[in-house]
Amino acid sequence: MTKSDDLARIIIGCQQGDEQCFSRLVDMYSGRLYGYFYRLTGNRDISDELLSELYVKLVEKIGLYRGGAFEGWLFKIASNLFHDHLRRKQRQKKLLETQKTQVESDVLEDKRSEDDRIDMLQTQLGRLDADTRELIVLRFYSQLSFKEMAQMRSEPIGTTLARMHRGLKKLRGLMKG
Amino acid sequence: MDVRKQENLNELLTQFFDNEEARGMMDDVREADRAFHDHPAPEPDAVLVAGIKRDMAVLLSSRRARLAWHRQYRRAVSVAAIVLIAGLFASLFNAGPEPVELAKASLIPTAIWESSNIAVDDEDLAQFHAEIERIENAVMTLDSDDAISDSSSALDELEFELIVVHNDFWKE
Repeated sequence: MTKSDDLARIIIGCQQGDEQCFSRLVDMYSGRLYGYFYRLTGNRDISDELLSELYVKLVEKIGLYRGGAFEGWLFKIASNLFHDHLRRKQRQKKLLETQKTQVESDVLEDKRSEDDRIDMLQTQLGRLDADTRELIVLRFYSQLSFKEMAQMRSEPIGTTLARMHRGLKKLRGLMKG
Repeated sequence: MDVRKQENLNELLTQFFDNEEARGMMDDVREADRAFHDHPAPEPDAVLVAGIKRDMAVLLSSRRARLAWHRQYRRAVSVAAIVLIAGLFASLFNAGPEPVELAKASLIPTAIWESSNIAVDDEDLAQFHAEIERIENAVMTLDSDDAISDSSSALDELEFELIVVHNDFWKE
């Protein structure tokens, strides 16, 4: 039985509500999904939350999966969750700004720097714009082809490649510098 | 991350970039892959993964219970619908024949029944009753052979009376 056959069998099991199959999906994808969230947020607590949320969504939405690249489908959910998180963060930031609670904001920032072990890659990824960063992180953790990535992002493959080209060049320069 | 989807990157890149740019991007892709390998992101905590699995199990069991309830509910609704339809059919097919409206013949013209002029109608009715009684008497006389001798004239008279009555009836 090939790996894709095995995955197809697990997905069917999940669609039938088999707990063991869900458990296997968790084992198969948690590392990559966690890496994806961590590289985008740079925060373990938020990555923990997002990963938990993702599996809840997976249970709710697995019935809607209609074939095709499962990784593409799964990482699309992950990407949506990440963007929801960004929007929430933006709202919180606005709220804090309007209430002028600078103290609370400082406390949050301090907590974040204590929690996170920021490595060099994380630092340099943080210097890229959000879209390019997500594209590069997606490429590595989702293991999707460029064509699948373009489909997932609903954009022409040429656009994906051009963005990736600029982003990788910049990241390479930053890592060397 | 060594199970990356295989694609002919060189062929793909040369479709969009010139050779030099395509080679440059290939190098950049390899460099980025190396950087991600050299700086692995932390793995999710085992406690977190166990918690996720536990939460999923709870979610699945509540979903199963909800589905079972929905199934039961649908079944009950279906049974009720079948019983209702069966009841309707039974009542339709077992119902007796429609009550037949009896046609009633009456010597009294319809106009009298429908009229609202009671005084005039009473007069007419009295007249009709008198006529009817007279005809009945004539018929009885004929039947009892009391007037055998002038039976033909009696019959003529009766016929005449009937014509008169009939005409009077339809005058109304």
